[in-house]
Amino acid sequence: MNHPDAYFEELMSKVVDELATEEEFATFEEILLRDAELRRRYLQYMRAHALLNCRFKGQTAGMRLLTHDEPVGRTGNTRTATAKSRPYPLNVRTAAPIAQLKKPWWGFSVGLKTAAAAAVLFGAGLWMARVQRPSSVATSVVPPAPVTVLRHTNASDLELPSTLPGTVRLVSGAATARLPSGVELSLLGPLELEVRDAMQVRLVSGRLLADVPPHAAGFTVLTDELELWDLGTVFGVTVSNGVSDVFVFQGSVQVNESAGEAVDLCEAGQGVRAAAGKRPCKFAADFPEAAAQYRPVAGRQKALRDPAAALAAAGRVAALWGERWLPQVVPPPPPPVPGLVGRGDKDAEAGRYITGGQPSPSVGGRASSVQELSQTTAAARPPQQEESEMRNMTNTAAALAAAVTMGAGAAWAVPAVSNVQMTQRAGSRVVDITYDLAGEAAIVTLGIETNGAAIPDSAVTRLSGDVSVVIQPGTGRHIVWNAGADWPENVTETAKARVTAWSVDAPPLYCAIDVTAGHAASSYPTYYYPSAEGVPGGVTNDLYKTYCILMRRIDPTGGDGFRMGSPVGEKDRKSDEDQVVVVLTNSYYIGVYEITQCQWAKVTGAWPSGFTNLQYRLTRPAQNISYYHIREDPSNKDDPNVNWPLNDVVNENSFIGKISIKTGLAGFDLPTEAQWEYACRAGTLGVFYDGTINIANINSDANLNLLARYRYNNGYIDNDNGPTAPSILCTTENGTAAVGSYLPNAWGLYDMHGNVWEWCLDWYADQLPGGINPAGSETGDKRVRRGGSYSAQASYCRSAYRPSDIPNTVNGSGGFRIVRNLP
Amino acid sequence: MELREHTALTPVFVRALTDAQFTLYSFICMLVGNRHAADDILQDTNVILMEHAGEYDAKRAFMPWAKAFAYNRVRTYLKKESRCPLVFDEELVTALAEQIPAETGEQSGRELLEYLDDCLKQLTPDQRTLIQSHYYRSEKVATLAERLKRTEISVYVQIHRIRRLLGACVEAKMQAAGTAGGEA
Repeated sequence: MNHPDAYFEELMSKVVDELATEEEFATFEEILLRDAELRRRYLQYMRAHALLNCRFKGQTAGMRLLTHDEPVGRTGNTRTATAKSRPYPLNVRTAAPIAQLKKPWWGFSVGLKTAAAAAVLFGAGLWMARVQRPSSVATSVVPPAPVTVLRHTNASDLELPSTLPGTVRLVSGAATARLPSGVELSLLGPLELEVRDAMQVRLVSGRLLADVPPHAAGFTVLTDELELWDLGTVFGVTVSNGVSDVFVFQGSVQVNESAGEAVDLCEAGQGVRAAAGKRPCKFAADFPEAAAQYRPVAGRQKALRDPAAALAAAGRVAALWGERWLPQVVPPPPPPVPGLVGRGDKDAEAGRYITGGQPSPSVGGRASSVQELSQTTAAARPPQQEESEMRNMTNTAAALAAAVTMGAGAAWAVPAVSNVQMTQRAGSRVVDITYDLAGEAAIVTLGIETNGAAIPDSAVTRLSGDVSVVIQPGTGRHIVWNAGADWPENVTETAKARVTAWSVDAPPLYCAIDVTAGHAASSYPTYYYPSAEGVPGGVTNDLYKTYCILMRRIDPTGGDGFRMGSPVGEKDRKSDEDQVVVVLTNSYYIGVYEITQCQWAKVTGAWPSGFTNLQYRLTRPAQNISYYHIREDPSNKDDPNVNWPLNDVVNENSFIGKISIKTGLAGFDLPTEAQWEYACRAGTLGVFYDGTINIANINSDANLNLLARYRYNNGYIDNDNGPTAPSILCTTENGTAAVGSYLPNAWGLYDMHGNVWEWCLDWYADQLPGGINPAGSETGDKRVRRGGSYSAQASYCRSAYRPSDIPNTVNGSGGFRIVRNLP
Repeated sequence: MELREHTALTPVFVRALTDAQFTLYSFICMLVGNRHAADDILQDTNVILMEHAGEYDAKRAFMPWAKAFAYNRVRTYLKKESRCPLVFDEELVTALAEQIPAETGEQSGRELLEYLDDCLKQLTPDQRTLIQSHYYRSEKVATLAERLKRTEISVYVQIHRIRRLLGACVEAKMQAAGTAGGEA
């Protein structure tokens, strides 16, 4: 393809947003004319833009007869004057005096140049057109009332607006009203409702049930706390005493906080409760007591038959949810990070345990969930699961355990879990889970379900026994779950344990290598967790920046591969970045963080790094490390037996050699240049891993400030003399930052931009290595380093920038992260 | 343009025209690349279609018939605006039109919007809110960027990505429903 993706995408976006210059427009035309595939992509893109316009700008206009003298401007490509705020043609036309009619944003209504009548639309599917003879008498149209009462029951003092915006008030009783958009509102008094226009109302107080036909999707209800954006549905809203409730009976509603922050999409049977000053809480009728309340009013017909009963049931579901779950839904404050402040290693060593409840990796483990399982690669064998159900799981009740074998489970030959038993120890909140493992050794993880839903992964971490590690086949394998510590104050009638066996070749999403025992240890344990949430203490805990090396599995999609390098339009790009297509076929783990000073010291017993301010050094990236230190002769010499890519040998005394030997696992190394860029981009095509398409300034960039420590984002000290290199004892305010100080990429990897340059395996060549699993040139004199550093300018932190250094280079801006290649 | 009497504006015709609006709009929009121009062309097309209502054979598919008129209006527009540098060249529009899959059946706009709604549900809550704010509340990118504490360019990028996702998703649904073939 002649035109780099990113440039084409940028042009397309500009043309559609009408921001393209004449020159850009002409270039875009030229590109499209030449390339049928890009034309196809443009059409697909433009269709979405057009439909979004349809959906949100005038979609409810219907065919109706208008008789007026409205001159409709047709001025070619010029911008037509637009109605302000909420474009709603039908409403504008009916509610405004004829003389003030403006052209709608865009019309399905047929605008007429002449004094003539036209038939145009009612909402799609609402055929109500009356065909009139043409007439030039503008005043013959009597605007209908904007809010029409369809029926009412004992409604007293019902007040309706004659124009919009206006207010509906109902003192008592019930009434059903229709807005011009076709939305029908069942109103329950006492109620006060501001009708801003046919597509937006604000419930000041009271209760209503909205029935929104598909063509009026986008109808919005506001309350003090929430903004509800309908997607074609029936939903109830209650505002009372500073609390707003929404509950969906059919379809779905996007719920936002009134400030515009998204809460979540609510489907039927779900709702959100929001109280002033608190974060809104989503709830669902997905447990037996709530389901019993919801069932009689579920669905459109049942809800509309008796709106009062429906809204009352929704209120009871919210209340039940609150009683049952709220203590769990509001998370406790995050555990304090271990006290890595103070006086060097010794204190830091103790700091690991300061958090008290902080689980140590030796008892790590977590629940598995079906969603996470789906992240395994297509080629990977699906993990085998087995469940056991336990009833009456209470503080004191004895548990009755029954093993339930999942249907598909039995079909998998190796490894296979069976005979899962779950019992609660009498008088305690400790749960024992036993299982048998047949076939080959496997990594075993545990999940707990209650009422048919998995409890949060983070609530199944106090585990010990045969879990989160590689388990050998055998019977009577035993996991102990301290439910009382993990999941306090919960009483449930039934619980289900799900034991998942993962092939060692297709392991869970995260793994952590525990290097606590230091350089004198003979082995380092490895633990596995199937999701970020299930990593004990959370992935951002300092534990994983000091005593454990946390790694995340990357699953390349294979197939068409990815585009490595930078597109032609990228600012400050170099000639060695010309794009190539790379296909990676194997999954690999990669470090979530750069290797830190503490981790380096633990594994090697040496402390080569700069920025050694004792208070801040542990979680800063390791520096002053050559390529030789990492994988060849640790005395910073070339090891003639180590010769990537002609072989994949590493020196056993190097950092990676030690990790390999002490974990007993194969595949550890530096990333190849292609693995590094694939992991960095996380699917993005632009300059940085947040998707930024280009930079305006080669020195600094506002988007990069959120992602990386670099020269112009406090890497250097900004004083009167311009940027100045920081001293070796500086705090993390300058120099390198503690790893994980900025936003991660879409795959949860931190600091791929900035902080320290990261060594890659490959010899540097002035062309990128394309093809399948590229390993770089066979010979060379410099190895590639990627990602920028605290001393680099913004354009050197780009995903595609690729400098290099001779392998024995030791400097303060160079570090690395490791990978573990999976079979 | 003087309207003729709409003696042929039967309920069947008006319903068909109503249902065709979304499809016609996106058809025109895809060809001219500019929604403001598409607004005007659609209005012209509607007027012309009503004038020709008497020629419409209710036994035949409405959409191809209506699209032919819409395409003519697009060509008229292109001729009129041919000197404007921000209007697609006729050669390109012809190439684009050839690539728009021919909808053979009475594919209603409602179906397209249903696909869109399904696809909107697949977005993350933040993505939906962004699209809602931009398209529905017509919040400008500068305002959004300020509110979300992001740069304008990153908001543009985000909106761009969402459009791309939705475009692919809608097309996949059209193909699944058998309403879109390959390239014509």
